[in-house]
Amino acid sequence: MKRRIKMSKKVDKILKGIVKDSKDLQLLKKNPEELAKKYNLTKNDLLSLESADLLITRKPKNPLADVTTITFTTGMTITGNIGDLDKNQLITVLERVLVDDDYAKKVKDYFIKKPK
Amino acid sequence: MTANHCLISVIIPVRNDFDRLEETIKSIREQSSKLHEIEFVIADDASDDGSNERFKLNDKNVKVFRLHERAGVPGARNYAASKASGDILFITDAHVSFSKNWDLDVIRHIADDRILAATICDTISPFKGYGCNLIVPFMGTRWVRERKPEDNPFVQVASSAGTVLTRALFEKIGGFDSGMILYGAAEPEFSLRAWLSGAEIISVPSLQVFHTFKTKSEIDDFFTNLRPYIVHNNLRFGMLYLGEEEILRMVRYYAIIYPEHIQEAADLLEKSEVWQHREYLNETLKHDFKWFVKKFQLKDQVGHEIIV
Repeated sequence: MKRRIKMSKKVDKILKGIVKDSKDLQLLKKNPEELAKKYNLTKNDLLSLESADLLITRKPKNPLADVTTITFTTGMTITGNIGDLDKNQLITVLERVLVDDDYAKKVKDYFIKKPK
Repeated sequence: MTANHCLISVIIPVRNDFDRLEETIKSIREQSSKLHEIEFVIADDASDDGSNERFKLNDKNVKVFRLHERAGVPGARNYAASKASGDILFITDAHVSFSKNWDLDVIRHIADDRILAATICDTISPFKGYGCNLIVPFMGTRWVRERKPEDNPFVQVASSAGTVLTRALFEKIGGFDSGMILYGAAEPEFSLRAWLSGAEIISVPSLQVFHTFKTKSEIDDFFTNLRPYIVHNNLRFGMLYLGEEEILRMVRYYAIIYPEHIQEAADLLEKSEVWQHREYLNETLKHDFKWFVKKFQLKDQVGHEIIV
């Protein structure tokens, strides 16, 4: 049995709202609770909005992407492994790690937090 | 279609990339077994750098169709496919080469309700991608990086540079979504729709497409003006298939990561027929997204259950 899927009036109203008013965009980004009140959303809707935060905090940025040539195909593709780097790219990473403390920390953090 | 002799149409959308095309065509031909006829159907997506005028290859099996207005990758692919004569379509890019006897691999594995996902190999590193997995609710893709012989052959998404299927199946699925603007999301949406239409996608490790990936700076240049459309396309993709709660999460996620583009993307969505198209898909597809989640035991991008 297929689930009936229809237009979402809630989503439609929110999209219309953020197009018309940048304040609504700010609420969507930073204060979903206020947005939920303004749009009469349910508790579950608010939980869904808030759960987007988990997607941000748990996604480590891949610092290797700065030097690889194989990072993206569509610009929406996530990849990047140290094994993908050729010799020159690996040297570039190492050179940058040696002179750029921030970058070195990012590389270290990435390998510590990288999901398996 | 008989397995003994087939016409394979190689579909290539090109925008401002004609200088590499002749070499691509030559290489694809040379690597074939010569047992099957090959035609090249090129959609010139309104190139404006003059490279299309320099392309002078005079060959009856190379057909170039010029689009006068930029249609984007999905539109150009659909147009080229509509002009193809072959029973089999090999959808790829302008800057690729194929593995030896690629056509024999195609004929060996092709079936009426099956898409072949070629293995995409980087030309300058050991990278190999055996198709892609869908990332929800980002609605992008992540490469499948490993494949063992004992693995089941199914893959969620065929890569844009190596998608092979019969012309009849392409038409049955309905081609690439014409609501996707210029670039982004069209390939995973096409693959998902194929699965939900009752087709299957299998990875064919031996069928290899050697692809020249863009460099980081080329990517940055390329995406400068495309980003709002890519955000639109990904949101459209999610709005066509996800449940309402996942859509809400996706919209906020995009508002956070692309605050400078979401208003333009939302405006484009508001002016589009996305909800009507969602209804149409609901009426016509064999399965819904819940089926796909179950088939692949799909989790969201941080490993949680997807709300369907």
